[in-house]
Amino acid sequence: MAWRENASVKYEEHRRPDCLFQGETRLDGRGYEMFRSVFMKTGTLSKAAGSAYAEFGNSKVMAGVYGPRESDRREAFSEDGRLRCDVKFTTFALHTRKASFSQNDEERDVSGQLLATLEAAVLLHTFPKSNVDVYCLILESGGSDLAVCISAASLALADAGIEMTDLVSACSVSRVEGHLLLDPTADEAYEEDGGLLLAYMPQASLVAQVVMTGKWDDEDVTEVLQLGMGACSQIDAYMRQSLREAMSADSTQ
Amino acid sequence: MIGSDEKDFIRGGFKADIRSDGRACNDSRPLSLSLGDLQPCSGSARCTLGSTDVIVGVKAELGAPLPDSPDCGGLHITVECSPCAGPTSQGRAGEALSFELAKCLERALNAHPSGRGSALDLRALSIVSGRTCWVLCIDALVLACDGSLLDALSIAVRAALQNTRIPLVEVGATEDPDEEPELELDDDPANAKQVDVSRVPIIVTVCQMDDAFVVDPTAREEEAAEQACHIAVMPTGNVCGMFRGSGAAVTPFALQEMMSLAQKRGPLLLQAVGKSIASAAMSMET
Repeated sequence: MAWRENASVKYEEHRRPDCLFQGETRLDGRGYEMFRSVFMKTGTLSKAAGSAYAEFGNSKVMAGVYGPRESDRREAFSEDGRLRCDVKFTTFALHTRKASFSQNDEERDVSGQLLATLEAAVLLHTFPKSNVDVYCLILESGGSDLAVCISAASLALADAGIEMTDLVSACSVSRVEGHLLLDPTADEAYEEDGGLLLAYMPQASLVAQVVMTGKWDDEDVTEVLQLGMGACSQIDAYMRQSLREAMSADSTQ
Repeated sequence: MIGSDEKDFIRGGFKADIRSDGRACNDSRPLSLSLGDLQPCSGSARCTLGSTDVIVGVKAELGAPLPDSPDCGGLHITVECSPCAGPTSQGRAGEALSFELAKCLERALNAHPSGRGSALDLRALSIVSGRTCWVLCIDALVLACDGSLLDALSIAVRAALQNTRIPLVEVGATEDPDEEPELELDDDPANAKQVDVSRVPIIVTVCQMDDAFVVDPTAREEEAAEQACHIAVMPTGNVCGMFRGSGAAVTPFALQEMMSLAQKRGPLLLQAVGKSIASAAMSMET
């Protein structure tokens, strides 16, 4: 490709690290069962009915919720409300530039999973015959993207006042060389031989989504699910904290 | 779409352990398999599970490996739902369903880009490191859809892979390592390689309604049940994948129950599959 050779900035390929561990810690200094630094804030978009921004280390996601409103396309009649999810990566979210603006396979997959997760939590009968649209934009993809999207989207839904069984918090776990790594980065997830995505509602103790890959022994399944549920409770606490902060900021204004 | 009365009827059946077609909660529908139906493919299988009907063709093609994994072969999975298969597989909804099914199968096989933890040994598909490899294209077509689609698809995929013959390739020697080596295809079927399917899982769909757990649900039962879970099980009984289907959220306890039920069912189902394959092979010979 000619433009690459002519480019003034040298094109550099992302080099994956040879080893993911430094002694007992991971490359970014975390223990095996620790999250990256978490930041969450609601009410970030003024036009949306509800919105949230979530940042887990380098994974940065914006979520906006619009509705309940009339559907913009013709759809079959449904007594219950309808939820629609659309997840987009920015063109600069990954190391390789996203080639086109149209929805690619990964976005389609993530959107579908986000929808399945939220449908298990949102009380659809509370907005009959109307639509709620959830848009997520992955500004930067640093691994565990879907988990961050789920947490951000459910926070945005709560901000919009859409009724749910409970706040949904989510986390990913990767198994690398026999270690269970919570909230893996993209490099760690690439090296996994087994993975878990868990979306959990800790107050209601209900699982909204579970996607497990790789071969697991019976004890390991229980262990990884326990780890995931514990981790989701931590995220749940962060989410409630950010909602409370938004409330108190509103009342002081 | 089924009405609330019919839902209540089906749910009542789950509780009483007798379903509308006379099965108990633990029974599955009759399974039949035929192998090698598709002539242009390297391997194929058709699986009918009750009135669910799927056909899978595997084609082995020569391709280039991904730059990230030069020693691994490739794997492509596509699922197409025929619009005549049922109301859920028409139009846009059908496209979404096809995509979701393909992703589930892909996750169950776990053909990870790094080649780790894969149910299929992608390394065995490599021919010349970094240059040429076999790419297995698994194309599934749903002919009729009456519930437990993933169960039928995974059985057909496993059988089709078992039926697949990959021609032997001889790599010519080259003096210069940068030079493209010459490949010679041996088209004698006796020399063809088989795919190792010993780790390929099958997927067991389990539906839950209160404390009743139902295997091999029909489309109506899937709709009536509170939730469904798809669990991929290896011949050893190990879980190697789990995906929550549509429906309400599930308690961790129910999740464990569904998993242990699937772990019991999986190996039994695999035995039935093995028998079907053996009898299909017998009938092909005669």
